[in-house]
Amino acid sequence: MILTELSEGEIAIVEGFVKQTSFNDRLIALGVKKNKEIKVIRKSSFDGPLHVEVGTTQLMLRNLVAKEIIISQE
Amino acid sequence: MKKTVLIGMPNTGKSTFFNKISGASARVGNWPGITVDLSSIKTLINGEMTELIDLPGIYNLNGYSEDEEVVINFIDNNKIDQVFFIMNSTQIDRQLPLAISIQKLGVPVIILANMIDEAKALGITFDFEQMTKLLGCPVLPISAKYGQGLEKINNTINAPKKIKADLQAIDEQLLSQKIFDKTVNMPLILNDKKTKLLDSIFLHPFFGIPIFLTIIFSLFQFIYTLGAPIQEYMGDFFSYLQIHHLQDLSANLPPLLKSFLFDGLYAGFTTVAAFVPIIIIFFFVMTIVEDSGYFSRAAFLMDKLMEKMGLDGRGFVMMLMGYGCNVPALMGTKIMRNQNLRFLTMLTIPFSFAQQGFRFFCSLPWPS
Repeated sequence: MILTELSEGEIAIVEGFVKQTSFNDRLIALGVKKNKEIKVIRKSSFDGPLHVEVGTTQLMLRNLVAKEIIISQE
Repeated sequence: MKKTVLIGMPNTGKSTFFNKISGASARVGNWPGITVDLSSIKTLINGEMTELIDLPGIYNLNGYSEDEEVVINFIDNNKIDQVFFIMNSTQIDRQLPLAISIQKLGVPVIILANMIDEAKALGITFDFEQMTKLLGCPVLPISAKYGQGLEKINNTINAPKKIKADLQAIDEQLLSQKIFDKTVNMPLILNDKKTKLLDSIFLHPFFGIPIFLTIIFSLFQFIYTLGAPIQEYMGDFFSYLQIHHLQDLSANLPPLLKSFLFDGLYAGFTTVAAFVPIIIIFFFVMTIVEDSGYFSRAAFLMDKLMEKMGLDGRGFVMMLMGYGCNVPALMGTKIMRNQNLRFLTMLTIPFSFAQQGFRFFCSLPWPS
């Protein structure tokens, strides 16, 4: 599964990234890392950015970036 | 002279700390990495003259962004006696890995756990003694905004630093997770109901944008209702000064010189000077909005539109500032890491006509 498939309010576990890029390090530094819980707080209309929460950090991720994040749900 | 550097992630209050220590007024902003020019001050720390340098906010030492390169280059090319690593206590889980990376460089590090007041309000508790032991470097809780805990820094400087020999082999992420689990106690539910409620209003799928437009409209109404009369008074004052005082003084000057002085220099200077009150009010209002955190919400609302223009939410904030005056907006683009994005934003800002810019554009095709 990828992050954009989650609906508002749903929680999942981060598994990794689709591509290996140096931008992943930025995401990891922001808290989006393997085995961490990620929650989609809200999605903006017209495929705009996602408002997500990892730990105590809330982030805004563009759809483009969110599509690169692999997640799993129980 | 000793060299001490401030290192930390963006939005951890580095500039606030720097200003508190220096008493200087470097601008503090709510977007990542505002301190791109390195500001430094000479100050007494523990009775010793020390040069304190505020490095840009970074996420890691990989050199992905220009800011990260700036920091890496600085560390490589300067002898550093001490690092103050500033972290945001409310986001300690993701900030510890960077602290460990910095320790690996082999410089003495003091970790300042900033925003401790906010962490307390959220219900997060810490065991700083344990954290100090596990990390092998002093960790001090502070609140740069309220000046809490700053006095302890002086006593800590002299504390002996022991850098763990086996540190190099350690994985930052694993170690910080271990330390976090042992020393930080997170409440099951964060005490942030108010933020969530406000977000649900300001980021509402239908009402978010109308609310945003109303807020911006009211702010500009406020700025100009207050500022325009002052601007007018200043304009009147300058013409009064010219007609009743300055022209008498210059009665004997040749006409060409007189015209240069009054129609050129004086008219130019006073036109700009009359704008100063509006710019001051504008910055005052924008600072309040910035500190409220509303700009990042506005960026969320406008990002899709900005993406279509090849810009991002931050570009939008700059364009917004451009309505008041293009100059600070153009200055603000230096926070952008990608050079192309920065140039594109700079080129679009003049289209968000500042009042004086608008006059200039209008006067091009229709000379008065």
